Amino acid sequence: MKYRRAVFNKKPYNAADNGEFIRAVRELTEYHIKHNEKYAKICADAGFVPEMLTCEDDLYKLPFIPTLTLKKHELFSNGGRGILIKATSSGTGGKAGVVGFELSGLFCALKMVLKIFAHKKLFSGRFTNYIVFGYKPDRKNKTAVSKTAFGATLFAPALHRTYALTRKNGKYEADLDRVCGAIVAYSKKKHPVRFMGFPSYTYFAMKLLEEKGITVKLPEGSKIMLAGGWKQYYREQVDKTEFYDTAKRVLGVDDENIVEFYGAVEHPIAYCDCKNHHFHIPSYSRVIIRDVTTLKPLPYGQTGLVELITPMVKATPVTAVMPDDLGVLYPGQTCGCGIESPYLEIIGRVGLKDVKTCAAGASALLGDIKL
Amino acid sequence: MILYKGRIYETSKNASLLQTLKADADETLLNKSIDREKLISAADLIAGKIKSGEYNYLLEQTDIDGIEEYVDRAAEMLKRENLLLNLKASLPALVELPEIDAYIAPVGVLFHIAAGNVDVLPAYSVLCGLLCGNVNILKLPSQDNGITIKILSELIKIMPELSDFIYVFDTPSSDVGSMLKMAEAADKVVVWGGDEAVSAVRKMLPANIGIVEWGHRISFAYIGADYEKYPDKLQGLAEHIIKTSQLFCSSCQRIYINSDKEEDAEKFCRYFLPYLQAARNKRPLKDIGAAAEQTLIKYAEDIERSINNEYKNEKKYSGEGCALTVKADKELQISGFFGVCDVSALPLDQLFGVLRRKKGYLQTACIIADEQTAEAAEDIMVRAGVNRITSPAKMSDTFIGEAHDGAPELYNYVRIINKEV
Repeated sequence: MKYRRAVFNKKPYNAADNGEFIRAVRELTEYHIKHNEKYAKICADAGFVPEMLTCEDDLYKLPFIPTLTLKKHELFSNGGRGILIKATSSGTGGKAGVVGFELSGLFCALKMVLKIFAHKKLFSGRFTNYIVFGYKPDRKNKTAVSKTAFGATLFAPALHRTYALTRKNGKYEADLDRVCGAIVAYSKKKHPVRFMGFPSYTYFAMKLLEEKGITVKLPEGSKIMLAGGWKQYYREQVDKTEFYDTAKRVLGVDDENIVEFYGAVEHPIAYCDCKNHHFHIPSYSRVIIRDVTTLKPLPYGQTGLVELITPMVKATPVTAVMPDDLGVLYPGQTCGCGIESPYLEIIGRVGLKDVKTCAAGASALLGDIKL
Repeated sequence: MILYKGRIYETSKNASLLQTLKADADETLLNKSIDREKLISAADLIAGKIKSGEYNYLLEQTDIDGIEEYVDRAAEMLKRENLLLNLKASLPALVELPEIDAYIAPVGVLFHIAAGNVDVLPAYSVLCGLLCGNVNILKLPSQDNGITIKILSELIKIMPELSDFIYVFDTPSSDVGSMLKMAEAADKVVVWGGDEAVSAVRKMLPANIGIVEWGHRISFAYIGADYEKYPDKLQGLAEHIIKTSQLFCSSCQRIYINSDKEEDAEKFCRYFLPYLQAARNKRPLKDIGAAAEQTLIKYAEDIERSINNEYKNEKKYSGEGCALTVKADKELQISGFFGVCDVSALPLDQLFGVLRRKKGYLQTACIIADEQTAEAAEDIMVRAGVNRITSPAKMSDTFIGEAHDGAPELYNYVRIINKEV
């Protein structure tokens, strides 16, 4: 996997690519076809052979795996041998997908995280109080989102961690009153405060403080880090400007100290927004937007299904995956932040509106597999 | 929300209102009647208001895709002359008999279990019940967007005495206890929905309560070898597919080509795709999220078939926002929605067998072929169980007074009373 190493040795953005990425995808695809019978069948039925990948324009030919498939099958390569950890998706819609990671893939992930977060200046030596708008980790919770939220509290040494979602009677419950109390208490200390987690709960907590007539000024160096999307609260989703204005008004945090992440357990690349709050594609991945009815690749500026490609993982054939997201890709130069790679805007998730039909036999298509 | 005797209640009042429902419905049944002439005038008034744009504010509150297409048609159907025509066509015709007189009376109390597949359908179902003089209990579908209660409240505003004849609940289907209470107050249950809904209602009902089933149906197009002669009809079919997003019972789900060669189906796809594309260009896809979900599900099914060694190589002809797929498997099934249609070669002599396997589900067919083939195809379709044959463009249009799935629409909502002379 020498080309994979070459890809993950690159700087996170604006790095020259002399064909390492496509070669890395090709070598990894060859590996999966050789060591994964199910994946080999998928490729064979799609009429795909790795030799078809000669340049990055060919990436669209690689069969992608929808998250729906990962929720039904454990698609581990090499019989699951060498898997060091298994991570599950958050299971929106009731089913969770499982992705296995081997040591070398995790090492690539570590290199990527260090480089991207250093680029974003997220590491600090100052002791910090954390509010985690996510799940309090425990043995029963294997979701990647809880692991990454905890991981983010290691960017700066933690004094205290307050979790918004804690397990009560076997179920996670949100206690925003307690969180609001912690925010007020931490705001009076000299240590910076970092928020990490779901934007929905972060926003609800800010609104709750506002309803209570409380505004605070978080200590200098405080940051709001958002990840995991709005999930079941998509109807309450507010636009970014409204979010940033509320953070400024209620917590005294400027928008340059609000950082948003995008990623998925099936595609463990850390997309971190730039100063203009755009998710530029790092050197370690590529994104294709596909037509929502025909799956043909779309040009810049058109909305479609998001396909994510990375040569990171050897233990599971998640080289090209399609989560349930709708998005648009824009040329990097139109952002103006200095990063030249294209940037991805997530528009929403598929199928949020109920399909209303009276066609006979439709329930097989609709009812059974709601994303 | 609940609408009960003209008043709106919160859902939390469900249990207490259900306690009195049977008594209130029976009280109305015993003592009150609907003045049909007045009801027709009220509907006619609403038709006029729809046409003049007075209800635009109501329609704007909903998120019904392509509503503008259907508003004019709804107004047309509610007009006095059309309602009268519909009554004439839908009610049983009474013949003079030598020994016994006959007249028509309402069934009594109808319990409508409405499906959410068409936004105005629940209100329409109640209106049909009212036209026949029935007391109507309605269970709203879970996806109801509020328009049903608004429409029925508007009707009650114009004709307040209807309030005793309309009871609307937003009880979820999973609340079997409440559903049973509503059913027990009724003489007949009118159920709209798929096989699962119909089967569940059949199981739930006591033997003395009748059932009217308006189940889901499937529709298709049959195309002769000379299709190139009919560009207007091909255009009509393409526009129908795109306009309805293939969401209706009457939407085309499969195009059959009169041939036994798959190459002919492929040739048709190449010829027809530009028509479909032109129709899509005229009407860009609105509900991207729903279309994306369907595409992903279908793609995941393909992957599943690969994993299970069941993959069938199918030729796809993709446009932008629309696609045709040649299927060797000729079974009449859902193609998908939002402008993706399956195409199969199916010679006329095999049509009957394929259709019979879908008996009870067949609804609308359109035929694009020379006269002789069209006549032969129509004969086979009717014998196999198809109930509607229309032009390609009008597969999902509603025609004044037409039958509903092969039966007079209001037939099930009335009784014939016989009285010895």
